[in-house]
Amino acid sequence: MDKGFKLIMLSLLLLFIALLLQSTFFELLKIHNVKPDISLIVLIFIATRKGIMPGQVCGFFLGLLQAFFSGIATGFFALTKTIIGFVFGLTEGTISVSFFIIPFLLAGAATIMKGIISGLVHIIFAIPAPDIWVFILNVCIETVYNAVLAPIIFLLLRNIRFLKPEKSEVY
Amino acid sequence: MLKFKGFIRKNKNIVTLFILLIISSCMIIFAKTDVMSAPNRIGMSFFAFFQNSTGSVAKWFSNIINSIGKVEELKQELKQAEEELLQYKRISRDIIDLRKENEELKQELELLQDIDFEYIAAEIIAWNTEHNFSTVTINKGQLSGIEKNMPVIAFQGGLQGLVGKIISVGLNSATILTLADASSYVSSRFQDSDYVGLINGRGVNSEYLLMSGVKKHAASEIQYGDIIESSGLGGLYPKGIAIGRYRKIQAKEYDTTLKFEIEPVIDFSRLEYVYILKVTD
Repeated sequence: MDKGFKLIMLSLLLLFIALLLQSTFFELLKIHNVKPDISLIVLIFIATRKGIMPGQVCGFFLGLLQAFFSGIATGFFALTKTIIGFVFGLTEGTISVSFFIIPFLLAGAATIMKGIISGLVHIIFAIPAPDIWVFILNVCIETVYNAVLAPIIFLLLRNIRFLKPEKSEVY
Repeated sequence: MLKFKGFIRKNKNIVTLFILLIISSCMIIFAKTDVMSAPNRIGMSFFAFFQNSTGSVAKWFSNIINSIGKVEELKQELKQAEEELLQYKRISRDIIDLRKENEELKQELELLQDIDFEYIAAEIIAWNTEHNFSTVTINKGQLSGIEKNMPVIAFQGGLQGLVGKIISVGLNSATILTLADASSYVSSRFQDSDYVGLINGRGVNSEYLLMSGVKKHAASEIQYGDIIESSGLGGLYPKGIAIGRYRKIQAKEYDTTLKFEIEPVIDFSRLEYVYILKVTD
């Protein structure tokens, strides 16, 4: 099996597990009705470690999975997560995710980016959006929550073999 | 042709991004058509199995943690239910007579019979993964007789309240769009004064729903805490199901109609069991 294809399949399995936990277990850990976006944190880890192609492809399929999980908005999540996967894939090889502060900042930036892209998609495609102040509040809470959890999740993901960085990988 | 292939090989990442964005945009545009609903249903049916299993485990943990507080809450609810039962016993005698009189009058006026519903109970197994939308997934689907656009209610604090409607159905699961969602619209009316309006969700974290399109002179008749229920107009939601209570008015001088902030009867974040209404008659 092609190495790149295997990487994407395993990454998608990881994202699927993250999404499953997000839609069930993390419902118990909501703060002001907002729960962390675990799948986003996993996606940015994959993108920063493995580059643009795995980042954007995993982002696209993550978005599709989210649509299947929620039964709504097919395409909406795929669009936002593809862009985030691409952007964070650009940082491959330039950022070391070993330090505590880096995952914290990456997750915070990714969540804010997700909020901005979602807002633009709502406007461009005329999809009804929550009240603007409710939306901003949700993004702020989610940003802090994701940023705090990211170092822990990155620490767990660093031990996964297929996600360890390899300079010679070609797609 | 060779140049084109060379271009693609050189800019593989950008080309892939472009293709994925086009596909995503097309999915959004055609989201409500049959082309997209079929794969959605298949995906939902497949993943619901995993959500159900994981959801059960999560619920078990949740029940252990909440059990202590739950006992007190249940004691309060039992006391309230007992008081209400006494009240209902007193008025039930009058209802039997009134019902008989109503039937006779309807027959005389040759009006249609009231619509009867079958209640399909379902448990919530998963919630939406993002805060942009307010949806929940339940453990019943097509095989249990659930269809798209069926209204959904729940009971909380002894009250029956409207939750939303079914928007997507798999074999063993379905998705409910709650009233809190920004794309949710319900035709409603004030229970006492009969003023009609349209209720719209404001998002997951909003404490209120927004009722708009109410006539301006309603402001003098409506009181704080008045119940708003579904009006039955539009045929989607049955008449007379409680939606919320009036809390605050939003009135600008230049507006021709009024807007009200409505506190929902149902706390969507505490939903566990819901009932889907299926028309039987």
